Amino acid sequence: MSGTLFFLDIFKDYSSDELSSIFVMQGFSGISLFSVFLLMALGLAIIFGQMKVINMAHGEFLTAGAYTTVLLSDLVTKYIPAALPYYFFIAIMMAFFVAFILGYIVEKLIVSYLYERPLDTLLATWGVSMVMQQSFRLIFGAREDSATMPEWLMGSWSPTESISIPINGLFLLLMSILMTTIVLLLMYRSRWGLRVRATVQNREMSTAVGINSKKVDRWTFALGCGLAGIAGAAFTTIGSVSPSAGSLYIVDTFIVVVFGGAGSIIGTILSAFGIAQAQSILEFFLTGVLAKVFVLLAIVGILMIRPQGIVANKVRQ
Amino acid sequence: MLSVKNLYVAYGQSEIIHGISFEAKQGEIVAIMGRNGMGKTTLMKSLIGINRARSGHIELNNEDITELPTYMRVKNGVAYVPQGRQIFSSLTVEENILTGMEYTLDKKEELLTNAYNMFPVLFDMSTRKGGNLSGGQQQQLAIARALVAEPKVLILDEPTEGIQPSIIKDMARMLNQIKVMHNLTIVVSEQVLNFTVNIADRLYVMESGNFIHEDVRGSIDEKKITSYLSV
Repeated sequence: MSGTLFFLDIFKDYSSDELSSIFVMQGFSGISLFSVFLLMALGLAIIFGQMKVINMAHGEFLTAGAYTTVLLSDLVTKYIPAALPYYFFIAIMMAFFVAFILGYIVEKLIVSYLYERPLDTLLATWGVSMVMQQSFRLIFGAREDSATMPEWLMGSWSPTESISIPINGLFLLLMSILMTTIVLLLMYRSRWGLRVRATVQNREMSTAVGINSKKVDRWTFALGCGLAGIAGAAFTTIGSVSPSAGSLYIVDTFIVVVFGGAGSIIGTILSAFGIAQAQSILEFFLTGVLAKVFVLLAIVGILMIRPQGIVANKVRQ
Repeated sequence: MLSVKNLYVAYGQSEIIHGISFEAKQGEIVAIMGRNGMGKTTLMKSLIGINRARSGHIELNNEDITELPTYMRVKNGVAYVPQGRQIFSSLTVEENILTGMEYTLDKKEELLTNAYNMFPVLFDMSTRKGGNLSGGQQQQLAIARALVAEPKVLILDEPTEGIQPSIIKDMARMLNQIKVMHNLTIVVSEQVLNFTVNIADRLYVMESGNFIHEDVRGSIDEKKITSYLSV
């Protein structure tokens, strides 16, 4: 009862017109957050779904993608400033490939030896994250860097007088929808996706129909890391990059994946959306920390009732 | 075709298969009979490579495949229908069949048509989840999934387990048909004697990891084998 009153209370200073504008604008600022969450969580979810590995270094692959974007933007500004309006599309692809290749190497050198040992992969990938963070610090320095954004990403769009929506948020939203669609198509319409789904179901049997499950693992891990790289490129449009930028997102990403129902792509999308929107809208009325506290309390409460997450895989085995 | 020489298989310290040798020629059905816990499944799993051999050799067309990982054995022409069928229950029937085409994807349409011709019930259910099929249908699905790999050797582990007696007869007919049509070598482990008597060109009885009896078609001593199989 008092909780309800409290929530009504924080809205009482605003007229209903103002409130709807606030909800739309904060909603759109939540969408930027949602996009980064989603790109990060998709990668984490497909890696966890495929091989039950929790990749603690996932945030550092975001950082790698972000630094790739920053480097490319510096190079373009210096040598071919005319290309500045378009470089960002190339940056997204490069961020993907850099993170993909790093992920491939990490899987081959470390993770592939630790399957069936979940605690060890947890420790090992945590170690990888520290090594990567320190490498970023050595290569790029500890200060924050930011990429030069193309003009067209900077402005905002005002459909009515009291609403203004940043273009970069819209762009991020389009990008994350596109990437999610590509991942879903890959999963459900490609031979690779069929191999992944067969391996997730029954690893032993999937090798007995001829699937090279080690190769599937390696490519899946690399793809998940590549998605984090794209999240990194996306991240540069809303924040500046420091060596520890990714680690700030990793906890939120884990929450998104667990809350969504580990391994379910649809659950991941719903959960990223819910958490990002709740956080962003509450942030306007409360302080950032309080907003986070409320969101976390709500998640804890829901997970106590539904420990399997909002969308659980339920299949007869 | 398939030749097993002095094969030893162990789980850690406990040895299950104690030096088995046998040969299965092209177009021949070899049945391996035995009670529960005698090592039939362990033997079948070591043929496909899920269990590794401790020593001995498995040869396919005079090529040693003992050290090959499972997926490479499939590539070389061994297909496997496991005990309990183990179809992918959250994949559709058609997707299940497609998983078997890892190395034959270039003939996808032709193989799919053949599979549906052989098992019409799978065609009717092609978009259903594998987990929603009955036991007999799942068995057909598991066999279809193995056949689309165009194997030279088909390994079946207790195919009649959990299947209605009326369907067991159909299955015997079907296996004979598959053998003739594809000129396949089939190795099948079984407990049901009247099923194997109808299909086996050669029959071994397994007890505690050894072969203790061998018969060829026409001279199968049903009484003696029944006495081995009774508890």
